[in-house]
Amino acid sequence: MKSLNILLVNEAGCFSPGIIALGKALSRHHRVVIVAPLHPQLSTGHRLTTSLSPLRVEQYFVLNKIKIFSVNGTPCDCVTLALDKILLSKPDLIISGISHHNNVGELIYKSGVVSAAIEGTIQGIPSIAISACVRKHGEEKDFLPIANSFARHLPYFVKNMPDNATLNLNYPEKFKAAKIVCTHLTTDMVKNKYKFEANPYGNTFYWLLGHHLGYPMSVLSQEGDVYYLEKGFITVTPLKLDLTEKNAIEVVEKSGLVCK
Amino acid sequence: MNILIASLGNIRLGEIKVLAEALNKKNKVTLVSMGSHASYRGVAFSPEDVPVRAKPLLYKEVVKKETKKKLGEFDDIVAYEFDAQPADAISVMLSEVMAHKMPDLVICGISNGTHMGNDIYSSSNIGMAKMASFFGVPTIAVAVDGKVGGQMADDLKNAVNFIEKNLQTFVNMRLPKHTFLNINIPDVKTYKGIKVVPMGNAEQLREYKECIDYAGGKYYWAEKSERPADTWFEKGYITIIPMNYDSTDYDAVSEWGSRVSQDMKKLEGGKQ
Repeated sequence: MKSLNILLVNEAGCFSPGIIALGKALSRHHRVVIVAPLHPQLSTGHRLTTSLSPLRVEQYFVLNKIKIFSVNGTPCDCVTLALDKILLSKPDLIISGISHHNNVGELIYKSGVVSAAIEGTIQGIPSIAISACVRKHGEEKDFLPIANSFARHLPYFVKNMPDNATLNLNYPEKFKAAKIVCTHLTTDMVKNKYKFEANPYGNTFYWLLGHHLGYPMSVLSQEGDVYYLEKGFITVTPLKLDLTEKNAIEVVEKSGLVCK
Repeated sequence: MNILIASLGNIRLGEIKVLAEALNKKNKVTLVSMGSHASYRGVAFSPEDVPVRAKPLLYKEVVKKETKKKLGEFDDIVAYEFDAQPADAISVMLSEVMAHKMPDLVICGISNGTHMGNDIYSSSNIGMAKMASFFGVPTIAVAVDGKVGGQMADDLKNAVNFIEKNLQTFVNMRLPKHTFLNINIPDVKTYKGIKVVPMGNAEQLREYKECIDYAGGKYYWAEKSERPADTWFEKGYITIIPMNYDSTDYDAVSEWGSRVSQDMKKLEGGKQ
């Protein structure tokens, strides 16, 4: 495989172990530039910084021939700013990650890692988002094995890359001998629980108690990404940009909406 | 009917009041407003270590103070002000506050500025609509042509009329699963008609303006994004885009599957 120009983004910050490991693993065969948020930007979704504040870029040290740039914005800001101002030429591939937790089901939309990859596709560049499973909260995980495994699989993913689509990859906890499966998003899994609280000043709050407290049977029976990830597969989900529901066009046209 | 109106604006601004008061004449309206500027957030959530701040407000008290008008018929509007991300607000409302009696319709808007093309990914209004359709509630996201300085009550009269007239149709419409409507309303006196259109998917480059500060450092401002050319909208038609939040590319999934099975056949053939 010929060497590629790769742009790396993430949501956990430009010095987080996930992105550094990915940079090290990919820079053996490819030219890699890291443009990532200065501070962690968890669950920012597709947020863009527009009229409220300007963006600043700082360049840090060069590690294994990798240039690291930080942006005081969100993951999607990093992609758009990198393509317009920071990079000298268009990259061949944008890779977003490694996220510290899995991004599966409909809640991928709240993930900065997946959204940055989608933004890359919007700008016309093939993009891949990578997430890995860290079960214990707060514990630092060694990302290098996952990054190496991904770097080995990269030619396979690039060869099979669909046009105009983003690939969302999820690595299970034990990924070494895992098979790759291409599957769809799991839907109808959001069951948020909140704890109501009032502080001494009389303000009222809701604390989020985890997005999904265990998966019910209805989620696993869809045989989507959640099901295969639980079974120990590496899941690949191609995401398209066009969200139009073509079956609904006729339904809306015949529903009798009036405008006069 | 039980209607949830979620708006990005502050409750003290005119634009939410117009819609809420018009719909509350015949229905029960619950209002969600944002404490501060919250555009371009997509489906962002608050970080896990920050709680979602929600303040129940008495609509009549807030509005009475501001406008000193007789309320009477609007006394029963329940309003909440959130200091959080827009998608958070919808999630709290539908999984806690309104969980015992889910709304018949969620209206996200009215947003000042249209949602078209790939801009919908970063739009907060569409983010809220996506979040609401995760819960399986009929949802519409409504936007009017953008105006610098915000919308006045008179600017919205036509749009509010349109929603009011078609309220029952939106609730009864049997859309496929996971689908919500993205409605863009042009700023004209009489609408030419309604067009149901697919989403525009032109490649959209974002540009930045480079500036230099007093110390010689560079900083960048995002340029305003141009609205994708949507001919029906420009001609004065209301455009409706039915959207499915499940963005899996099913064609690519099946293609991938068939390619893998071909590879397997080749491998097996090689072995023989």
